[in-house]
Amino acid sequence: MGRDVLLIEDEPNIIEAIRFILSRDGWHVQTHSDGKSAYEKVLDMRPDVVILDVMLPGRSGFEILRDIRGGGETAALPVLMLTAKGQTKDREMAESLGASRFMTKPFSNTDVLSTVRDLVGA
Amino acid sequence: MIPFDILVAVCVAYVVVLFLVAFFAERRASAGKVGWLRSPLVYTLSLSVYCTAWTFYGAVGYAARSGLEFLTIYLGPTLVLVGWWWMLRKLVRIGKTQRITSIADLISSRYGKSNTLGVIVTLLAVVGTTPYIALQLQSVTLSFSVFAQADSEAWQPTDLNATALWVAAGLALFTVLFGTRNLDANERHHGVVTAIAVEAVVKLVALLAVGIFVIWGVAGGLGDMADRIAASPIAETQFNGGRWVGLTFLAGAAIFTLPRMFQVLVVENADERHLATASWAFPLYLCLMSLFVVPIAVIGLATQPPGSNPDLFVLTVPLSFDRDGLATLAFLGGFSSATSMVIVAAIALSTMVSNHIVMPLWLSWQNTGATVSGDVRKVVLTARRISIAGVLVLGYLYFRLTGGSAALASIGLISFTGVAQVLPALIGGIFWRGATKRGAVAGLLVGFFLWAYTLFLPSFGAGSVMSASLLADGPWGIGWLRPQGLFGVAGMDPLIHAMFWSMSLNSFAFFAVSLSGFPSPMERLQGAQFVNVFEHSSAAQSWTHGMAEAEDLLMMSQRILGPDKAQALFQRAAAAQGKVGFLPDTTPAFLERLERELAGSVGAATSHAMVGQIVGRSSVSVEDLMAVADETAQMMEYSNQLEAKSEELSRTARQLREANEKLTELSIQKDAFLSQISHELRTPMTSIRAFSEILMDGGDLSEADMTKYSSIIHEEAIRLTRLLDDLLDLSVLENGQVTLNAQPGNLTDLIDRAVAATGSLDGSGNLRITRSRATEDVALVTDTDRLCQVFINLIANAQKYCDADAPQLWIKVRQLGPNVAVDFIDNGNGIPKRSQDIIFEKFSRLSDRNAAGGAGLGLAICREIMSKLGGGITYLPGQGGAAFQVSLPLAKAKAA
Amino acid sequence: MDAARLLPILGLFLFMMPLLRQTGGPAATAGIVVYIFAVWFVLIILAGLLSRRLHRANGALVEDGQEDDG
Repeated sequence: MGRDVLLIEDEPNIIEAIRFILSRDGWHVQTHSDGKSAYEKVLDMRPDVVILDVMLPGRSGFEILRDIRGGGETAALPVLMLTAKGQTKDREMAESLGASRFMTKPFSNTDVLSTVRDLVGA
Repeated sequence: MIPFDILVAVCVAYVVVLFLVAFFAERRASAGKVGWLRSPLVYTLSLSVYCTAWTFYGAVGYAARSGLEFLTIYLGPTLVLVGWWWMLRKLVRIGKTQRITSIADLISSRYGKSNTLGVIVTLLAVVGTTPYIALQLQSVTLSFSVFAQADSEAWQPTDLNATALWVAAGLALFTVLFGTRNLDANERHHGVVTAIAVEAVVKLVALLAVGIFVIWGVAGGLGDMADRIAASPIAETQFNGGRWVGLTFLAGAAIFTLPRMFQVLVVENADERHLATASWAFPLYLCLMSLFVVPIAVIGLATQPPGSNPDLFVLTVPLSFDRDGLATLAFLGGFSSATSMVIVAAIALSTMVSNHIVMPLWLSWQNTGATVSGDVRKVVLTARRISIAGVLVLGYLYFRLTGGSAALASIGLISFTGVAQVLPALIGGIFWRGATKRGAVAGLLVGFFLWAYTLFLPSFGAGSVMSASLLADGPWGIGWLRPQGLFGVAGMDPLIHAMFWSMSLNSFAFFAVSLSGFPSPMERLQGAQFVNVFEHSSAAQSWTHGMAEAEDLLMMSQRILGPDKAQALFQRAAAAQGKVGFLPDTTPAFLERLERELAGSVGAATSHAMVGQIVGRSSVSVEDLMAVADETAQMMEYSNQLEAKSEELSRTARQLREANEKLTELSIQKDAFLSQISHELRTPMTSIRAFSEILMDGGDLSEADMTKYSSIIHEEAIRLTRLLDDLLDLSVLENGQVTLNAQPGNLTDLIDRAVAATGSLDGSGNLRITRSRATEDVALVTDTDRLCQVFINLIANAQKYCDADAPQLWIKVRQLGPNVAVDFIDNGNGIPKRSQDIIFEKFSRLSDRNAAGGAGLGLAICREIMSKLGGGITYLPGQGGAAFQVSLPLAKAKAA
Repeated sequence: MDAARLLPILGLFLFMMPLLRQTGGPAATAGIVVYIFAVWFVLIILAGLLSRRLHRANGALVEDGQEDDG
């Protein structure tokens, strides 16, 4: 039962906040801010959970999710999607691409934590 | 010598056979079995009415008197038939499409359905044909007398007149019986035509038989015959070139201008293809008919006692050799020739008389209109029957008055010349659109008068109609008006003289008057129909308004066509219009068709007048045409309007589409904008909320962490506020609600303020700003605060985004024409070309480097401000770094 | 069709030929008779051939003669 979380997010303050919340609960959090190399990071790190922002420089979160679901080894990887846009079509898009969960910013810290816990079945 | 009684019996039997033939042909036709009745052969044989008793008996007499000249009478028609492609084809086509009933109808119809012309041509035909009919009566009685002379007990010379009367009465009966069965003169008279075809065969066989008898029975075969010809007086006859040409021409004209020939050639024609057959078959018939004429004449002159009538050689030669059977056959041949001519001529003339004289009179007498009373059918039929009787009575009277003295041939040629007067109007009418009714009337009257004056009246002999002194010295002693020496032309053959003057002056009058005037609208329409019959085979567009009551028209049509046919016609027309019942809309097309149908019964002019009485107009006037033109113009205008409208509509539609596209685009932009706003608002709020919760949770937070997290919250709150400020600012600018606070200022001061505001002045930032103060001294009147805001934004951008190791910014002021331009150029990488277009759009952050907290609204705000100030802001490519140019109208600045 | 138009002109020319002979004699008259009938028969044969050819070549040159009169 791993507790490795990869946070793909470009907003430094939000990275700081999520890292703090998860680390306090005993998760190992690594972060990545660039959309283009995000998938390589996933393959490289093999996290137990991915928290993925939609608006990323270089490549959108949706495209990264498509890669994750398309790659054989990462197809079943739990992915929590975060977005600040919060429009219905973004949620639908995320669900159709196979996001495990979808959350709108701003979020409640406990929700993020419980969702991550949920995703790894802890 | 056969007894006279038996001859009469044979003759009567022959007539009975003819009646039966006509009767069965009629029966077959009415049973729908037209078959061979309509064959080209029957058509060709029916044309043989051209060969009358004049041909049968007269040709031999003609040859005996004038040598080969008789041949011209057959050569003319041969040429016309052989050249059918030129004219007969066109005549037949016109006759069909216009449902022409007679030559008078053709002329009348062509010149605007003028009844005046119809009457003139009818009178001309009657006057020209009556002597001809008399001629036939004479030949029959003469041929009877030949047999009677030998059987003098049974025959008294005074009985000649009675014979003629009986023959005339019998012919009238036959003609009435078979010639007026159908009202529609345009329908074929199958009975008559078939009987005539039989007669044609009889006369050909008879003449050939006599000819063969003469060559191989009397003479000793062909060689002997040739010798005899050379030895006969015929060979001595002078060959008159003028007459040869003139008579060929006359005979050629006669083949279609003679009323009876027009009847069989055009009216009775069932199929245009028959004409192609007749083009060679009829010349063959004529050729055979004339083949033995010269031998018979030669033998006749040689064997018959001097002073005997050469016109009767065909009979007297076989009789003198006691060939009774052959003589009887020859008699029947002559009888056939005479009767067929009289029958067809009577039908043709009666059609003309009833359609062009009786019916118009009756119609004007019945001035209440054709709908109200009377059975028109019966009137027309009665008129036609009376006309037939009348024509025969006239012929008989003429025969009685002239006493049968004149030579047969000369009567025939006089008749030919008379009817040939129609030629200019006819030819002109079908080939020349400019021919007018007035021209036709003038030509016909001139020709008619000259013919009567120079040929017809003198033919009665000096002292009968014209006095001997008039003939010799001219009227009132004016020599150049002598009937047979007009304009001082003397020594000319009287016939050629008459033909020359009548035809040339006729043609001259026709062309001159036609050229001097303009055809009426109706004439133009009909002229086009006739001249261009092959281009458009439809009847004239003559009815412009359908105001007639269909019921009235039906009532009238029933009277003319008969109830069954009329109802069927109306029903078909209604069905064609998609209506049920018997009453179609009286559209111009329907009226035109109806008129054409009626024309087949009563002629074009009468039919037009009858429909006109009901419809309320009798001809196409200039006003009508103007109305049509007006309608057309209105239609065109209307359609132009429609076109304009539809253009307008499509323009509107295009505008709508554009507006819709714009709206859709706006909606997409709005969605994108909202999405951006949402993102820009939620991002700082996310941080604020997350750290707030962390702080609220308390726990084992270090003091440093708490301070750090609080400052993040603070920083994000400020960012949020700034964003909201920018948004409000932009919204105000975009909606034009901004009030500009114009005040004088100096560019140097403004740039100073901006540099100071960005904190670059005191060197706290690492951006080095290079200025050229000398050029900056420009006085301005503008909203200095807003302009300063733009400068601040541009300097701040340079601070944020210039990625050079030693960031530097040059601020250059220049005057560009009426504008002052302030360039902000840094030494960074600049903005990629593809992005240069979008940097002024809202939220157009090129990267995520928003550490400075920019929401991507800065340049959008700058652009709005500059456009409000009357200037602009553009990106300057190719300056080695990011370069923005702010321009401001100088004129405005100086005006202050 | 042009042949159909030319035929009568040819015929006219040939039929008028005898006019050119100024000398009239007994023998000439018989000759003229033979000549004219010969021309006549030639014309008839030519017209017959032409009408057949026109018929075949251009069946549509003539419409069916009868209008339907019900």
